[in-house]
Amino acid sequence: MFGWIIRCILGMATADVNNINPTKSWALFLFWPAMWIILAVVTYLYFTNQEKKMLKAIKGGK
Amino acid sequence: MAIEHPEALAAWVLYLIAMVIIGYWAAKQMKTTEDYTVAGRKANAFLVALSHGAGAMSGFMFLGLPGYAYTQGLYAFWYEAGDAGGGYVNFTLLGRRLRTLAAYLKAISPIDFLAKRYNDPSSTASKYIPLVGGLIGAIFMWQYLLAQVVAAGKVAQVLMGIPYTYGVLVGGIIVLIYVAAGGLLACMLTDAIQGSIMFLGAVIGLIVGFDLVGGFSGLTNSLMSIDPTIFSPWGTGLQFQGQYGEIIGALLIYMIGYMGLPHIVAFHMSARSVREITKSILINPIWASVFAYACVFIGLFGVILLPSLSDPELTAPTFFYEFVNPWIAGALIAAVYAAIMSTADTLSLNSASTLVNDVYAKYINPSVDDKKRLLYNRIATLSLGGLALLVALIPGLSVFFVVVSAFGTLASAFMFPNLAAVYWKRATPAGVLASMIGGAFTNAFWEILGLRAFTHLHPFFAGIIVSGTLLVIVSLLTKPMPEDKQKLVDISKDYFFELRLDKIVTKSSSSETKIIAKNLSAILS
Repeated sequence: MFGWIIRCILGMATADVNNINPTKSWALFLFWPAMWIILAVVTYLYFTNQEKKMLKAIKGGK
Repeated sequence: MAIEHPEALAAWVLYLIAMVIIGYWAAKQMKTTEDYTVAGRKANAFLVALSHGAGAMSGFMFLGLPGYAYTQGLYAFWYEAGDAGGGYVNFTLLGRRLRTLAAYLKAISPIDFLAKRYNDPSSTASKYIPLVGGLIGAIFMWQYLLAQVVAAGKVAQVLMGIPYTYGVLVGGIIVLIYVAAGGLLACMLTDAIQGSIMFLGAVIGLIVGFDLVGGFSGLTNSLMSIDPTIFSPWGTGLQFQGQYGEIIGALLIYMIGYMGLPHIVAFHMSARSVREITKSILINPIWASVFAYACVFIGLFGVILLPSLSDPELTAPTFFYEFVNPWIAGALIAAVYAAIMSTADTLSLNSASTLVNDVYAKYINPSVDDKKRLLYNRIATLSLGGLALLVALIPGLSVFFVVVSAFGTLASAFMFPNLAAVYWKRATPAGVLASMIGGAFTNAFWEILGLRAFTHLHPFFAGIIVSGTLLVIVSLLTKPMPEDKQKLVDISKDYFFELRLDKIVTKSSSSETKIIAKNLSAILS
């Protein structure tokens, strides 16, 4: 599964190794930090919400 | 002795003085072994997130990585695509649960955590987990530390004209003083400052570099005219073409590997509460993405601006000297040194703590009291660090092979046992022991035995396959752990158990209930 994903991503930049497209290569690598930061924001919001509920339950004596 | 760059020397000296002052202050806060090894579990999110970043990203980031980008082009991004999210993966998958369970078990080191989680009197394998884990941890963290000390000596020699021996001794002794005195708190405070300097250095390098090469399009056009394969994800000259095992290994090693490094996992245990880990999830990836990618870009700028470097690993320092104001360059060289020291301090502390708390206090002298244990931790930090300094004085030691090898071995040995501790009830001590030994052995010997060239599999990738497979198969073939141990997986999700217990004790109305609650609290903790 993971190999398949990697192959798809690589395919984006290596469709033709004799005619390398720099724009696709930049997109391939700059995608990763953007993905991590978006994931971090979403995860932070989700966990914060979950923790607030847990704290509320403890304070409420449940 | 001729000093080539007095500005750098001045910045370096000021920086070292600041580190000693922090160590002195942190030493005043030390009272127990818990204070020393896990900073009394009082660290906030900023300290946890930046210590994780600075402690994890060693001198490799300013020396090895730009050098790798200088020779391999955009292929170097494979390592950093994973590294940028390494902290995120570590905090999200492991951090919150491990912090909770470690506090519940009152574990004072990552190996102690494994020993307590997999403690089963009916299992012979259980007795050997702290010994085997402690030895693997101490040996490979020491190896990692040695590489940092050698790197520090080289930086001082090449960048400031200070003889290698002085660079090793001065830098090494300062690290040992503040770690032995101030423990993990000193490590974390200095790491946070070092992390800020590293971040600032990388950002300045990025701004200056883009200005010099004519922006993003200027960089692209210049690199394309030099060699179009610089842009290939298969590496310059397409030398890794079709080698998916190499690329997956490069991507994964820093993406998931941090979950196995004892000196990094210790940061989870130091957090004041799970909330601080959750905040770290947000802070760390922003810091890591900018810093890691900036270091690769500096290597790419070097291809255009410094085309005839004799040693590619000096790309970043040379770039700073050539193109940035000398005083700022001096501060940035201190950042290079900071990157090395921030990893060295964490390693010296954790290798010593592992040896004293997980081997000595468990096998040789279990009745040792806390005061003596704190003293032995400090003696071990000084002894192991001193040994690293002496070995580092041997000329001609290679740094980066040692770093990658030690990192991969630690990660292969401990990543799956750590994850299984908080996710998989069916994991058994025998499975964990087999996983630690198999993972460490595979990663350490994969290249030496010629298997990397034969299979085109990255040693780390091979290590985690062996480690994960052994954990599952051996666990399923052996007797499950007792119910109360399996329930620890559920407790790892009870993120605010400390608050809940406090509330039971303080809010109870009747004196009888208070006594029951206190007893319950004592049993649970």
